[in-house]
Amino acid sequence: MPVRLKPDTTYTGSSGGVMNLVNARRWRGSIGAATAVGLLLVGPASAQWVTVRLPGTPRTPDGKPDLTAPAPRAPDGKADLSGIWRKSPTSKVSAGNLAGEGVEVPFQPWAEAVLKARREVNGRGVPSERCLPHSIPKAYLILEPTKIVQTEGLIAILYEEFNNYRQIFTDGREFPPNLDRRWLGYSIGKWEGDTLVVDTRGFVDETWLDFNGHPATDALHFVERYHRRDFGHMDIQFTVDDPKAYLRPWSVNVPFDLLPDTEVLEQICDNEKDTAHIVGK
Amino acid sequence: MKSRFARLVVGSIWLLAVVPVAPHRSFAAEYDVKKPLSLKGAVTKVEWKNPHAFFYIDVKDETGTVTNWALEMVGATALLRNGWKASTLKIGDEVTVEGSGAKDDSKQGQARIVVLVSTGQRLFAQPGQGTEPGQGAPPAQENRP
Amino acid sequence: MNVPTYGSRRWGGSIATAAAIAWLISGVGHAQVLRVPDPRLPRAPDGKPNLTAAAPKTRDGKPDLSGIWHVADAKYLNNLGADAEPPLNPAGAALYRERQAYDAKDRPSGHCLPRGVPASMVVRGRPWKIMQTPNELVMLFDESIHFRQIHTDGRDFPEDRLPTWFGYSIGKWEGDTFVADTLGFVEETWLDNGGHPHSDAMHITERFRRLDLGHLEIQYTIDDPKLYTKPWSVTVRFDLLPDTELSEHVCAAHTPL
Repeated sequence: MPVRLKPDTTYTGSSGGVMNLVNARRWRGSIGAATAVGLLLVGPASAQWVTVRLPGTPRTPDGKPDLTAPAPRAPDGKADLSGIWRKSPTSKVSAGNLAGEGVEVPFQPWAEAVLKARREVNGRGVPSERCLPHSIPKAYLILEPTKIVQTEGLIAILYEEFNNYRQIFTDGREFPPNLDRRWLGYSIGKWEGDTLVVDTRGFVDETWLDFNGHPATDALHFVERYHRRDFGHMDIQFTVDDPKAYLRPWSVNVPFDLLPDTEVLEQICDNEKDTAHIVGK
Repeated sequence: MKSRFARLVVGSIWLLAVVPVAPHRSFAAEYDVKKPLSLKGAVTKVEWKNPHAFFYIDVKDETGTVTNWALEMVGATALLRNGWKASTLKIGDEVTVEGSGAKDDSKQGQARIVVLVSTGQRLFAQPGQGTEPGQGAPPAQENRP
Repeated sequence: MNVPTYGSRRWGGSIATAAAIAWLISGVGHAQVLRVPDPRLPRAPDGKPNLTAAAPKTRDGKPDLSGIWHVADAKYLNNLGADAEPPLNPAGAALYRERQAYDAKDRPSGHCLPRGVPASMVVRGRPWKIMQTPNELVMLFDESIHFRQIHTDGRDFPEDRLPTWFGYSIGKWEGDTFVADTLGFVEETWLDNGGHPHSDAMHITERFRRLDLGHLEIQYTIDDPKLYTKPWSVTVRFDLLPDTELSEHVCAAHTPL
């Protein structure tokens, strides 16, 4: 069970000292508050490009990014999804549980049994514990941000974690006839007005949709619908259509917040020391 | 699921059962909240890396025996975004650490709070790893009076 | 955005597109994992892409480096100094000899770790894509699905730089040449499989020139005063891989060095 921190709780350590736990109320804030703290601490000298002034950012008179400015447009007139994004802390959908909002997941019986078995060992065996790529939804829902780089005909999704990427082809192509199997699939996107609808197929058989272990198979057809509400806010609807694992498609809606004036940092999995200690139960 | 109440119950069970996660693997697969760690020692090494930053401390027990412990934090990029610098912990710094021990009883733990003894500065080593789903990232540093 | 101006053919029914598809199906094209006809490419009547057509330009008149590129010669991965002996200083020479003697035992790529710059770019069988935007040039690698970003939005290097595997890159245009500057490297990467070393002081300058539609030339200048007596350069040629798409090569065994 998750540890619940209580305000002003103290406990005695083995050395006899008394230490105060963090007051939970102090940090029941938003990622925005933490980012603001981070920005203050790192200052305007662009340390690590954690803070870097990005051109084209709409700003309020005091120079801060205007997160409620209208959503930008690309030169071809389409909505521009470019930016660095992180899941909103207000959402109960998480990298731990894609079904976190309480959606009723229509499991095939074997898939529900697999999920139960994975939970019994606390998610031991998730591919990312060995630095293998996250599945598409898990990659969006983790702490590390995601950068969307949009050009006409091609959108690149750059993941800070593991320094991986994904391509979404918006040049009108269809799926190639000899599609191979990939961790991140092969994605084609089409615009429906200001909503980008992305269809991804061609998955390996081993992806986990979240850390709990909702299964996915090579029959997975993953659909995303992106809609940018304004400069600082976007919604993505994820639909899992995997007839081998689920009786019918199921969807979750997730809000995302823009992280302005920052950059994706390089994160290479070069210090993986967990697998030797992952016992599960 | 026939009734809305039943759906709520099932949904709640899943919420309560969320596995607290670090970016690339599940916390509870490796660490145990029922093994709270409370250590004090001097930093011997810092690995400012991903997917986890580590620091190592020499802990002296009552008999004077020194054991070197490995303390795991979130990755370096996540720490940077939450106010840490690579120079925040230096070799020789005396620190106290609160966290959870490893399930395999190795001398490794997940650090949650790190306090620099010389300044009293409190640092959060697991930013964004809120204890409830959807919880925001706590600030890295706490300057308590 | 940067729409190449070499003929903006759209999907659906041009003769050239049909010829392209016929050419691909005929199997005349070199080995490709995926066949994805590109309707924008200028073609000969038999459907083959005309790789000596003029280099495309972006909307704002700059050369467009976008495309999937594949190193023409395998030798540079084995030895980046294949064309000219790199000017190692005594410390560099000692480190190189040591690596040669132990036959690459600790080469990072054997641990699923990145090859860094320029080695990631010169692997036969592992092409990479340039995606050019007004604010940055993104490189997408087939191998290990890694990426690099070369920022062209006017930013400077960060003052406080933690070493990285691909470095921190900023770029700008000098006429028709794209010049990228990269520094802030970890020390673990090898410049080639033979083990030419570099230190954390390495500063790489890459000068990109797209000679025509099908050919890219990059001059790499390595400036590393800790291990070399002076800066040294090597010019490498890359061929466009048309009508295909990147594969995904995921390395399965990540182990720390």
